[in-house]
Amino acid sequence: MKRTSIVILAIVGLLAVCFLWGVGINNKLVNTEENVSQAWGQVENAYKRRADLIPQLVATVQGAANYEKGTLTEVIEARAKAGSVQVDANNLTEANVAQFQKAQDALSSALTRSINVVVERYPELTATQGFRDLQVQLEGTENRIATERGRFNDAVNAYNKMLRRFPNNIIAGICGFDKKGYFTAPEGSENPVEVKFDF
Amino acid sequence: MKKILILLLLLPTLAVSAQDLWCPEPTNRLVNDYSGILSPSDRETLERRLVAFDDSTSNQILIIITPSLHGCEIMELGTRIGTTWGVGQKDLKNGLVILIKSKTEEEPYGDVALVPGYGLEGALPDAFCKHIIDEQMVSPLSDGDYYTALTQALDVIEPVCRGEYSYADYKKEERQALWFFLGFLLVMVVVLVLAHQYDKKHHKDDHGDHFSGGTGRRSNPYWGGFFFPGGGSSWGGHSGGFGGFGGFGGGSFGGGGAHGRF
Repeated sequence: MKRTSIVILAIVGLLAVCFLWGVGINNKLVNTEENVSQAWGQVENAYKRRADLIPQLVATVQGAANYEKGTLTEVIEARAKAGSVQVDANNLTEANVAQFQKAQDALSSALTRSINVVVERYPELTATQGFRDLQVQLEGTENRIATERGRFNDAVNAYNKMLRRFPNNIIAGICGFDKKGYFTAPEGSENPVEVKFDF
Repeated sequence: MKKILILLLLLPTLAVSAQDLWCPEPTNRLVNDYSGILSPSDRETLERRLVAFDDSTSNQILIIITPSLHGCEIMELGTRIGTTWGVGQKDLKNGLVILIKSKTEEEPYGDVALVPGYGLEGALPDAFCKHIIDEQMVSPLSDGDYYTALTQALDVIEPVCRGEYSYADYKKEERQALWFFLGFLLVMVVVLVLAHQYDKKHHKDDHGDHFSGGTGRRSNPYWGGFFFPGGGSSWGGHSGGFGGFGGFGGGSFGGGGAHGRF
């Protein structure tokens, strides 16, 4: 009688220790995941900033003397398409991040091409202060995007590493933590199209 | 065998640092001229000016002049330096990095970047940074007059940053810490007084007059040690008083700003 109660007590104690240990790991994962979400918020901010600059670009170019309507169609469409791909911070799977990146990278190259066209077609425009300021802002925005993407990747890296390490992976499986996606170097980035910022 | 093991352990870290992640070692100065272009007196003047600006507004401006970017993109390097060194206060994120790549024989082009921390992006938007570079810096820089370029830029930057974050903003946060400290002090004093009284009583009861003189004297270093050396300096200021720079505050950077060639 006494022996069984000791055994039961030991088992209960062991279970309690296991439970507390699991809660500890779970909390660590939650913290790291929160860092990823925060970094994602910054990434979205940077991309939103760029999307907000495009109407300004359109307005500036429309002021050019011999403006043709078709000049900026591509970038306007790409902006709309990129805006329609939103990823929730709780759902940063590899597929979602890749899809988001694809839409944004399409906007990047459309933007680059459009600016090059504008510079070629409306040389007098490039001399105006408004256009120059806009270019500086676009360049700054690209820098911000690169910075926040890098930080997001670092945060995901830390999270994925923690997730996959034994025994964290057992707890992660029970509590439903999933691997998160990275930003990758876009296709064709080995020979990127340069924006003509210096002229 | 041991050497090989160590080498194997070091390899991954080498591989990472060998990529384009160059960053100068943090120093405890606000003006860092690795090209040796500024005269010592000009450097001192700038340093004093920036330390005074930090003391009066808590905005930190770091100047770096380097002969080479080591293959890095200048804006990226500026952002990395700002983050690694922690320029600006941690909460206000009010740091600014002025990074100048000087012309050298091997790399005969100059480049200057203004990289504000997150908190100063409002006061120094990218286009404004570009204006400062074009209008205040490029011309004297191409003449080799780095000191004039820097003072002219600071003449524009300082009032703008002062408008964004005054010393009052910084003090507000520091004041909270001060109240916390005073509360802590009060509790400690109460505890010590109680302990002292208990001690006195205890000794009297147990040992009579024999120890009472000794107890009185023994309590003196207690009080002195508590009030004088620790109390004053721990919350006295964020930048160790006159002359020297008190250290970077841990600000963060998001990649904003602008640069221009000269």
